Amino acid sequence: MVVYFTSHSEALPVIRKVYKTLEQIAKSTFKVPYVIRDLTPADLGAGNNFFPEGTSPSTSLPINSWSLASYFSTEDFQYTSSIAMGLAQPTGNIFVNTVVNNYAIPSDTYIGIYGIAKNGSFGAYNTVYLIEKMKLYVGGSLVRTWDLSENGYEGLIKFFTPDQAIILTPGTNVTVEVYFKDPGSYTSFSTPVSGTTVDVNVGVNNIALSFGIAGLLGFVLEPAGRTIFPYDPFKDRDV
Amino acid sequence: MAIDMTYTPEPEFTYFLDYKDAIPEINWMIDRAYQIAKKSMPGKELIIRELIPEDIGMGEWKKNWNTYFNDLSNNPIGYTIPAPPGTSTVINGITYNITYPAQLINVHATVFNVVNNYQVPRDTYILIYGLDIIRYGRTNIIGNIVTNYNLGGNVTMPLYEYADIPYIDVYLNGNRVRRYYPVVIADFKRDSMYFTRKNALLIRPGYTVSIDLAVIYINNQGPAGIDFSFKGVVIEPKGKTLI
Repeated sequence: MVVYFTSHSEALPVIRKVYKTLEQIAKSTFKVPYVIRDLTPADLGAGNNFFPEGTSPSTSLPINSWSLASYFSTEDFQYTSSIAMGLAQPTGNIFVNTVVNNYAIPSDTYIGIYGIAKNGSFGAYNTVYLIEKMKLYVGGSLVRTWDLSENGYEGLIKFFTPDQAIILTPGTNVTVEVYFKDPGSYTSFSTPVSGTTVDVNVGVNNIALSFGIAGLLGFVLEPAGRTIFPYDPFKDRDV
Repeated sequence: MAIDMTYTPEPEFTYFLDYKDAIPEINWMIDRAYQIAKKSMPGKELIIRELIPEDIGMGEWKKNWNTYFNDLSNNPIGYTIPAPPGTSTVINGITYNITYPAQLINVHATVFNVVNNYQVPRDTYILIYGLDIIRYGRTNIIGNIVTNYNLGGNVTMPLYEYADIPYIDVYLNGNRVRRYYPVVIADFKRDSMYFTRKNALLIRPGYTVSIDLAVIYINNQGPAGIDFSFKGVVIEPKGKTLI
């Protein structure tokens, strides 16, 4: 029995089921008009953990994005030493970035998750980190793990089967972890002699950037007007 | 081949990723939009044509956002990781002096208002049923820099930049009625998505339209950018634009 689909077409019955489940919840529990819309990173509080290592940004990004599932390496930050000296050997280490950290889903908000995606990894000069897996914790308990190593640096979408799809209810605390792996493919260059001075014409962090973007696919059920107002354009009524 | 208008099931989801899957739904929406337009313009011969950017107040879909993304002074809410010229660091007895240009990695997040209260002309119905996104600076190596270590040789290094769209908001008559999540960002190979009637928009004559594009972008020396467009049709009287 499969646990995911890679084709959106094949997954539509499951996606429809998630949508209908939210719709049924709305009809049975919501006393106010509601909307069901696509899940965005902000709906799970993603967005305040852009650089888990290497830097301490003083401000948070004001716009949430799944791209917060990123990695910025301390050792890469000092690439001039790493590369010029050939010191940054592959570590094969796994790095964890908590992209959603104990986020409490607001009251009267339900979230249905039907898929997971990564849009690959990228970076510069063999410092690309691979996305390995994602873990979802609900209420402090691990409830789902997904392997994302397939396709390497390329993108990947997995749509869940009914058993894997999940509805998150109001007040639930959610944590999402993304795991990255150092691929271990640094290239060494000529090694300067200790005691010399090296002028670096390019900023130290020019090639230190490595990204992997991973996120969840789903729906949000919430009261109308909180994010958007309902608008059914195919009925004869105005906004 | 005749259009199959027997397709009527209500889609309980918000988008298709395959055009082939979406065709019946798009046909349903265009037919429905045509009926609504026809009802409001009885006696007029209507045409259906593909949506182009000026129909919703944009000069071009593929605006050169790169210009914005690369203008670091244009975005006060971004921040930078400091690596200023003149600094140096000593590692294992080797002093690394950071000299010009000492490029920084710049992280920005902002909202671009790409359509601002554009009023749809009379007798014009606009149906938006999909979107298309192309990102620059992610999979493509968009430039090279040459690093001189003063060690007897230059090393050419690729630059990678990145831009992403967390969401796209559409306002009609001042009310935010859609927040599109471009799921297409999740797949390198995909650049289009097609809305179901749950998520599509039919914009009627006289409505005002505003569109906000939320972006996050990261660059150092090269630009990062987004090309963004909507897919749709315009229904209007014959002769108004086309004869």
